[in-house]
Amino acid sequence: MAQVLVVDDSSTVRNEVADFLQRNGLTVSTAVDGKDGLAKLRMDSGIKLVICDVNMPNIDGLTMVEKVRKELNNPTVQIIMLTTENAPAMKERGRAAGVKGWIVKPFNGPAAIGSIKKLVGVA
Amino acid sequence: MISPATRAQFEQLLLGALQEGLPAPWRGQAMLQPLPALAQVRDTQAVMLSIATFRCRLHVLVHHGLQPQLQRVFGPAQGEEPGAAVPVTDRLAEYGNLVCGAINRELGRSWHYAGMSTPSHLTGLVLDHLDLLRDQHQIHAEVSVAGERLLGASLLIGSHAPFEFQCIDAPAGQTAGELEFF
Amino acid sequence: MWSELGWLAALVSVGGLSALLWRCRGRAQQALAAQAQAEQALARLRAQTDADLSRWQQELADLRQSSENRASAWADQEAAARARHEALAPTLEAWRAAIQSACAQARPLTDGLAELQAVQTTFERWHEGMDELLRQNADMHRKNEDFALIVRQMTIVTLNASIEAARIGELGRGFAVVAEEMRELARRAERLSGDYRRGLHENDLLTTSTFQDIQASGKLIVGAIAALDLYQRQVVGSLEGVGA
Repeated sequence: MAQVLVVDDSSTVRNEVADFLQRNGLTVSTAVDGKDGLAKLRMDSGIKLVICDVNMPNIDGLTMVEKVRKELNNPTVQIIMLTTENAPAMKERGRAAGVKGWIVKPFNGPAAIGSIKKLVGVA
Repeated sequence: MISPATRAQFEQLLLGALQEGLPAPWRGQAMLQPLPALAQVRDTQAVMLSIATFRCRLHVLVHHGLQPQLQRVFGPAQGEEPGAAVPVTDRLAEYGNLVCGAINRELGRSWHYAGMSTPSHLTGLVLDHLDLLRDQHQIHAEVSVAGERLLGASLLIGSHAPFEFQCIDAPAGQTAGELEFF
Repeated sequence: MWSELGWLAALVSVGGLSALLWRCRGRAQQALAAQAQAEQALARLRAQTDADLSRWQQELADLRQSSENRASAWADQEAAARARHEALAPTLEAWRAAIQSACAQARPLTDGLAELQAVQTTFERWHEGMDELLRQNADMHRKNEDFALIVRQMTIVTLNASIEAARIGELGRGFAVVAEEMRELARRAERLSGDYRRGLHENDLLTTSTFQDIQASGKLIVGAIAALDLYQRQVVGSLEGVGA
């Protein structure tokens, strides 16, 4: 059972983020796109936090978040977007879908780890 | 279709994005240089991304070989498991994603709406056929580190009508890597 | 002697008394003069006070009049404002009705934008199609490489055949001709494979470019729709707030 799910079509980002979180004591699983992310969330109800890219093939990140809230009926899992996008309208769409936070790539683990642990409930 | 001033803006945008996308320890050491045309010697690999706006279409290509220096610059970050078997081609694809993302953000600031693709891997042989894309403008550059060529990059701009573009100053606010809470 | 002293004393007394009386008279005159002055000043003061009082009374009367005039004007203005408000009431009611009508008319726009967001599924379908096209391209590359391998093997076989024909000598001349023709065919096949390979690379570039254009344009359109939906909700929210 994982605490954090990292969703990104880039193996570089999945590895970098997952490695960092694991070195900081968190259990992590990964998914390669929005479709895979939804499948992983369906299988593992223990996931507390999703760190998710926006631009991905198949189902993109924001569509995945909207489906998590509506189709999976999961209002509680915390979601942070990790993306190159920064447009206000896109952030607003994320906020309306229940996204908790937004990080513009590249990932800065040391800057974010405190907040991530709080969201997972281990800080 | 675009004025020399607009072309110059796009060139600056490409060079800035190429630098911004490099791993932090290498940003200060990189030399970025615009080129009048593609280098004669073709790289063996290419990563392609695209940006769509209502005024124009952009293709961003990062072309590279498989030389050891690439592994040194883009290899595992400090502390990252060295055994993490992420091929350097994937790392360069993420680099292309960061470069294209920086350009996409800048266009979105000026024009509000822009869409970006995911990266695609291609062989360097496609670089011989860039003219087939019928993009009216091609801007080429190369990135060197410690006096050695690291990779090349191309920005292709295509549109059906003339347009102008001017970068606007980024508003003070979120910086890359920082977690912004809603 | 005593009478001279007496007359002297009397004279002195009279003199003294006269001086005293004269001094008193002077003082009395002074006092009378002062009194007269004081009475004059008092009269002047009285007159001044009367004048001031009269003026203040006049000003008070004027103020009272002005106040009454102002109150009357305000009453007129209030009546006019009330009359204007009553006259505007139908207009305000019409505006309220117009806002409610605008909110009602915005509903199909809201519904339409919500429905338009389902265009995402259309892009997902296109994406699947393009994915298949790229897989086909990759398959064609593999097949072309297989073909190129066969052609190289053919070339080797024809070379061997030519060598064998030469070894046989005169009897093998016909065979040598066939082998040469086969080698020529293999060379043409190799050239064709090379052209085909270049064509496949061109195809890769065009397909990838088109695929990415569709993907990026899809994001552009979905992003624009989402933003318009958000702005439209904000406008309707404001209208509903004003109309309430």
